[in-house]
Amino acid sequence: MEFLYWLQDSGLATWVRESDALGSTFPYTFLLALHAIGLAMLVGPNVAVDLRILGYGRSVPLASLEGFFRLMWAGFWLNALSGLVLLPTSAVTFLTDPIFYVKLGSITLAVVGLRLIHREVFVGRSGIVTTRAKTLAGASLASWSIAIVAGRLMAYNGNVRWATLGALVALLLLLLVMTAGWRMLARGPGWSVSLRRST
Amino acid sequence: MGPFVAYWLRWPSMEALMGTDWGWSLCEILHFAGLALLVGIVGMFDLRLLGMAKAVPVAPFRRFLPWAVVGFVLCVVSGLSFVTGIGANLEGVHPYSVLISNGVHPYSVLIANLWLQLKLLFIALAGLNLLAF
Repeated sequence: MEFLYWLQDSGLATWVRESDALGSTFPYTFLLALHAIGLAMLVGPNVAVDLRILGYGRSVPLASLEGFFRLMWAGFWLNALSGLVLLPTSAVTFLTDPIFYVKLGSITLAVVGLRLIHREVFVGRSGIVTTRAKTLAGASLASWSIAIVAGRLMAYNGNVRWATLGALVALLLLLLVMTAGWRMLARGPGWSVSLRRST
Repeated sequence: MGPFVAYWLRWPSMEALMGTDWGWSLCEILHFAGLALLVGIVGMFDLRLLGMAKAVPVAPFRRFLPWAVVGFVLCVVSGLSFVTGIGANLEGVHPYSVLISNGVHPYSVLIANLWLQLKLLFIALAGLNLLAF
């Protein structure tokens, strides 16, 4: 605890948090923007690779997507560094917050998953999709979703968190029901066919 | 009667939605998920055109663009909720009614905030760019 307070009151953390360089809270805002850009560089392409493994856009050769791994690692390091500078600004709140560890844990899982996907699909094999690769891709999508949700919820306290989680689950269930309903409609009601055949 | 009609005409009231415990934070989550999809996938496309990952064939890669469109829709819906629901966010922080009676409307953020205008302008440019493909 002592250490966390020291960290939070250190010169760098105070400067990042409170400096009004360029007329506003420039350092803090700038770092947050970098963090969002890194998110897009890492998560976006990773989602595309996962989707390709799960079967979308089959006409794109999977092996060719390896070229985007450089972009993903650049995004990862950008976010690791900007996160490392942002962390001390509220060290006490973040490092005592369970949801911060949920965020870090899911990011760790996702990044380890990305390395495993790289080894499974790209190294030495020309992009053959195995069942293991599909499992990894699904796990990767789930971990990134959890990471984004947890990261956003860090800005709020208990009550709002549970309400938001509830609303998110409700929204996802609604989408699921709507998709299922749409598919059934698109397929056409099977019972009418069997009725017609039976008469 | 007047305020009631005004309220009813604006149904569904974004102030009510964004005033709930979960409205604002839920939209933030959707905004970030949309950001990753939109900027990530369009960025891959642009970088491919600029010469990164040359092994990726350009034409089939367009198959991924619908996912970027999903991201775009997520961002627009949640972003509009931020702007139209900003009154709810001001409520409690500021004396909201005082702001209104001084003639400061919540949507004046659209007129007053240069950064929001720049953001919308560049999003529009990026959108035109995407449509050109």
